[in-house]
Amino acid sequence: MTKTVLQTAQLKKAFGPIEIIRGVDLEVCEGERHALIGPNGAGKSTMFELLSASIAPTSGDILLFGQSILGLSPANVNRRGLGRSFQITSVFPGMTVTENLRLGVFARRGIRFDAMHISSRLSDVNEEVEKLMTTVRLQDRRNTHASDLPYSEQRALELALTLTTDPQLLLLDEPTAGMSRQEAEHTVELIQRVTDGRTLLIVEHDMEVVFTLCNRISVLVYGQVIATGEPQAIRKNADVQTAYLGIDTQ
Amino acid sequence: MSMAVGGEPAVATVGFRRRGLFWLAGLVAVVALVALPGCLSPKGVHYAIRLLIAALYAMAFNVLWSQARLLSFGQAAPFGIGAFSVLHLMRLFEDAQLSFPTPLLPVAGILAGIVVGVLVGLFATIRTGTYFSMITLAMTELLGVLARRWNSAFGGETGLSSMRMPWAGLSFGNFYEVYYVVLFWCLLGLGILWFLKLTPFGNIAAAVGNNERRLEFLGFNTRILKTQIVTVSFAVAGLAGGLLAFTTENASYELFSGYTSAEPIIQSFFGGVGTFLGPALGAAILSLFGLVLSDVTRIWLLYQGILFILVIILLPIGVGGAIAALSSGRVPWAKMGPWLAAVGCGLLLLFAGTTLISELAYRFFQASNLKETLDILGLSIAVTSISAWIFGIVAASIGLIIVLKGERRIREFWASARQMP
Repeated sequence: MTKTVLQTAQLKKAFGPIEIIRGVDLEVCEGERHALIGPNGAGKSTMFELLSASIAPTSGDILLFGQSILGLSPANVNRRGLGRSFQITSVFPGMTVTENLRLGVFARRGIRFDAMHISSRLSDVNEEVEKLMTTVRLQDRRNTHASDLPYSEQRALELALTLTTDPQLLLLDEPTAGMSRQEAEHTVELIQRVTDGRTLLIVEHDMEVVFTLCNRISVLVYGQVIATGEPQAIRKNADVQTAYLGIDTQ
Repeated sequence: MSMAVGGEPAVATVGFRRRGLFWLAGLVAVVALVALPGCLSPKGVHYAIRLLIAALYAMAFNVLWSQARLLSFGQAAPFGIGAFSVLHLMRLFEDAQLSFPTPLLPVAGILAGIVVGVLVGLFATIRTGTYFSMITLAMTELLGVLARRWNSAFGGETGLSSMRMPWAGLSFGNFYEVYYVVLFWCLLGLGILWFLKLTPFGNIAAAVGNNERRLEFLGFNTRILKTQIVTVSFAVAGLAGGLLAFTTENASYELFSGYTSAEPIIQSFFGGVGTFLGPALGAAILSLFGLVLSDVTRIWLLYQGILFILVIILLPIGVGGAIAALSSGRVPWAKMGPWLAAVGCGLLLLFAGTTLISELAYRFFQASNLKETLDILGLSIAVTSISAWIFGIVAASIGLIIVLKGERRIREFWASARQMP
């Protein structure tokens, strides 16, 4: 039986009188590569903010590995196995690639107020950082400041940073946004490679990326999931074609 | 030797050379500081002590700003409490006629700073940005009000006084002995702050300022982190306050004033918050500037303000940042030199004109009779002299025009050296 990693129950979020998320029931199973798609303003980003505990829902529940995460901080949710990347690249711009990744490794190893050791001499940490850099092919950029990296490498660093805490569930928010076709293809290959064996929930506008990466899709329109299924089924779904792909099936 | 990346050996050699130079410069500086009292009069030694304390105090502020981007307007709280703690400890041993290792008295300042840091940190870090600043300001004001009214603890208007007791054959009755105690604690404080930068805690603290939200999504509780950073900063500020009390053998509620909180901020930005020793350098320069100039004119704060504004406009990376840029070799000197010379001349004119006008104006409005004169550089200038006023205004105006013209070009050069904040 497939284990449910993430589940929402009648999840709602309103900003003042405007209801953005209107009773979403979403289920992401272990090992699944799940895409959340929808037109602009559908509430995808709000869903991500809710799932990662950035904001609290108006009502409903979010279960991560069967336990409610309501009231928890993003840090706590991360420690329970959920890692997320951001739509707008969110790394540590004033720090080098090595320093960026080291932070994630510190987090995973529970290193917080360690004022007794010199970071660069923590060999276990450095080995892990090396592995991660090699995985995302940033080993030649180890001493480059994150702000000086080209955009696609910043995205790769962001992905690596998300992986540092070894999350079981990865939330990727538009990982190929703003990339050229070639860069997007490279990123898709990278995501496939580094997320192997992990559960993935992704928000993406590029349908080619979605159909290449994911084996399950949920379509969000005006704060409601109107369809969930395998990519081919979603392609053929009349409601999706009408509401999202703009094709009138009548 | 791990040099997997192409070109790394050359980089490593340069890095090794730079590190060598860095340690050599550090050693020379320490030796110079140890030898300094031998070349100074007692008054000079007293000045040197004040500079060291100011440098340490500014470094304490910079822990907050350069690492975590926390702008504290409440540095006076740990500074003042640190000072009073040391003084109470001194009084305790003085009254009881007990022996205590006198050089260890400043430890009371550190402990008091830690307590204040935890308390202020827990409250102030509930909010970030301006709200954090306002909470620190409010808590310090609160402490200031308390100090004014609680005479038994803070000594009222006269403050509290005590005496350094002799210990281990040393009288601690002159500034030369005090200097070495202060120097020891300052070097220890700087050494600890430098070491902290290299530790996981230092890295994580720097990440708070870089991208706090991302850090939270990596599983860090940023509020606890910020409280820890505030505590470290306040512990050092408490030590600085303790050293001041140890030196002057006196403390009053004036230590909780807004100026005490503003001082390290001004000095840090003057020296350059982007470099480790920049704030200490800024504190040393501005403190010396203040100590020397306050003997010459009563409006020395005006000049300090002007100097600060000029540095912020012309050298936003601060004096320490400029030195770092120079040593990096990335400054286009050939192109920048003439502009710097022109702006330097402009600054001289601006400074001369402003000084003349300020001193004339001060005397003009303070004078009981208009026959008063300004005695400067061997000249005696009447405060009503129209030509002196015109000369001052013209010189300042020409200087200002030159500075403004050159300022943009110099900023461009700094930017091209990739050192601009």
